[in-house]
Amino acid sequence: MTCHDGIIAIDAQGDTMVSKFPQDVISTNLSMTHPIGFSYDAAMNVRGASQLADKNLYLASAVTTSNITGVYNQVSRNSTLRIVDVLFQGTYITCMSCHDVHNDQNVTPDPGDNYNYLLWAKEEQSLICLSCHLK
Amino acid sequence: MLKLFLRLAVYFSFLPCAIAGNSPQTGVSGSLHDINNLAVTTGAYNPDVYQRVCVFCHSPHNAEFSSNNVASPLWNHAPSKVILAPYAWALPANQTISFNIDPLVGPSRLCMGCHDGVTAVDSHGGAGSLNSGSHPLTTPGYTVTNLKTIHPIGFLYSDAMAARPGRLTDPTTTSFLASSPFGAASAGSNTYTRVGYTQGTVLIASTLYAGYVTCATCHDVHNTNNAINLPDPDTGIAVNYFVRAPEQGSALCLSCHLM
Repeated sequence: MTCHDGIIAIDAQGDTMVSKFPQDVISTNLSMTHPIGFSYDAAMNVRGASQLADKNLYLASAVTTSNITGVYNQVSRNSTLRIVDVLFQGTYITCMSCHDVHNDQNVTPDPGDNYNYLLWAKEEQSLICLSCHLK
Repeated sequence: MLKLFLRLAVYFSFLPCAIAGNSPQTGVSGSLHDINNLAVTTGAYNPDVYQRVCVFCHSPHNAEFSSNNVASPLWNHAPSKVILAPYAWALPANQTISFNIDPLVGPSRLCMGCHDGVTAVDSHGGAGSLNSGSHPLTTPGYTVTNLKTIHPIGFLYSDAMAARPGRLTDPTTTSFLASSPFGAASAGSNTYTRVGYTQGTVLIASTLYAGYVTCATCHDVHNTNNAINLPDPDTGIAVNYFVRAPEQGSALCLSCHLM
């Protein structure tokens, strides 16, 4: 947030992100962003295993939709990372739970994508969402 | 033989239109609420450039905090601005039940972001908006333009219980019905014991928005825990209205109504 808060200058020239890339300012209000700073385990206790993936599962790599009533869509999890691996201290959801800031192990956008959100799982099929959310 | 042929013809004529994965309890991906899939398969809407599913309604960043001052779940869709008059009770005795100043209070207003027939289904994204479309939902039967022709929403269940003693189930102790006896005579039916019906696991109270009946009271939008219906004997297709209890035996209605 020392860059993405839209206030603190990114560079020595004093430009803030809000003046350069307004779409990249996360927010000055965490109510508008996916919750962070909470325990995945606590969320699991509230939502239950029918709504959130076990944190020892790997991140999603593909979804195969089901045609069979009552048989859930199959989420393939061929990532090299488990959910627990992207939780701070194995517990807390932070920015780093979705984003790989060093552009290192993040997924390659599929053809058609022209933007790199530095994500651990793809935007396609909302795989980054479905890594944790059983929807 | 001709009848069988016609029946098969009707059945197969549906298949190209059928959306893969729209069977109940298969998840949102591939269902009628997977708008990207709907856009790709029907051509009626602009698909998302990144082929995302959730983005038509939700965004992890820059979401709308509120819609008509109601806190929204990371909302990322153009808001419905329609103002509709509430349902009008048929019986004078029911006039004591009042509506919220906005009968579309809570999630109903969010649903109407597509189902009002005016707001573009493919209009999503706030800051850094990617590919907002301008195609409203116009399929007959899928839009709500007059709240007087649908089951009332936007009233407190507790108000209705007070006005209709003994006619509604207690939402704090009753779950949506999971199955019905399919017309079997229920002994002592005047006691409203509903013999043969079994309760599921979704407590009615858990589907109320601050006590209000909304769209989400009957409907499970994410196709995760909705009811499984029997196939239509003519088409072989089991309709999926994203409802929380089966149509068979009107289990959905009888979950709340003691009839």
